[in-house]
Amino acid sequence: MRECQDETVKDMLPELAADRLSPADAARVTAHVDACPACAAELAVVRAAHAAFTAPAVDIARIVAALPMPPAKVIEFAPHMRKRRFTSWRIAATIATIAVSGVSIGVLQGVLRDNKPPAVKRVVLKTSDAAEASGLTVGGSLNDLSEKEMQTLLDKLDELDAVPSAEPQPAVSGMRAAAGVQ
Amino acid sequence: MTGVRPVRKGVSPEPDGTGSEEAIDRELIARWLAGDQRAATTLVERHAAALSRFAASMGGVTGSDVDELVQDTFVRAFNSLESFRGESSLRTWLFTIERRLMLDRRRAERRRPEKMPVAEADAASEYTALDGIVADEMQERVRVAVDQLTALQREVFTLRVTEGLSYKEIADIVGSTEGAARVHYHHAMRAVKEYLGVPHA
Repeated sequence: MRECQDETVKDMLPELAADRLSPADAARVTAHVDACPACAAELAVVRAAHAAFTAPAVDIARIVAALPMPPAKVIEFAPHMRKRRFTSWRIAATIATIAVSGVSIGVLQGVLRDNKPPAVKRVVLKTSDAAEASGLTVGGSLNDLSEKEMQTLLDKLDELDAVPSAEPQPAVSGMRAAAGVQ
Repeated sequence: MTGVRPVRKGVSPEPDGTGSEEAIDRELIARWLAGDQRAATTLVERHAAALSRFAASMGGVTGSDVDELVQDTFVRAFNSLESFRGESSLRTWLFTIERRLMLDRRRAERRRPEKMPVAEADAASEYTALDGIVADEMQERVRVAVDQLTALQREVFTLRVTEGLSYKEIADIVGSTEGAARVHYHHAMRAVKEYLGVPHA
């Protein structure tokens, strides 16, 4: 039997036996094998070896049951992280609201007492006085709040049903009215 | 036909590999990592038979040992599936893991001399008898011929003829070079043919 010189075809014989060739390549190799006794003999050996080593049956269900669980994806924040994050924002929003309310009350009281519109500049200067007049301690930072005040503030924040979608704006209507602006 | 490069079924003509066997595996891996446990079943179903065949063809691994070896291979693979970078195909990676497990077990067996009297060729015969396989004469002779190869030749030959893996894939599995894998295969094929009395192609 003459030895085949076509190394490319010889290299593709195992892939033909394992059905890993494209249909076009499989057809070309098969045509060559039909005309080449040497490659036909080698393909017979390859096919015999392919058939000789059958796959013993394995228990798929048992294997799957032994596999680890998929890695968990952390979608939500941990509870303490979540509360901390939103509490800080709420504290800031509430302090701003209280400050503006205090200003508004102070301005209105001034208007009622003097019956004359205060200048906008005066409103700004009266902020801290108005806050004190409202009976609330509004400092420059959260450090000025006592433990009890802070807890009360946090409790009220937790009772809020809706969270504003944006930072609260100053209630300018009172100021505009007080300033006589239409 | 000289010079015509084969197009393998497992390799997609698409540049991104879309639709290839490897792409299907990647998709299934992504689904499992996202929490879809059914993807694990599909992955096991796709590759269990090849791993089982490879284990049985190596000799010394019999009956329930094959089942256990395949299971251990999948468990190890899934434990590090997040780190699988896809530089090789999933099947090649699985073969690499399974081969390492087999080598570890052989080393462990060598440390237990009372388990060693069973020669590899005898183990293969035992497997055949235990499983009641009545192979035809040609297949039985091929098994005997393959048993007489060196361990490395047997691995290369088996991966080539039973799975149709490329020399590159085989080299990745056995930790060799593509050229060395080709040489091992040709030497193995020559030895098997000589045993069977088949002229060289």
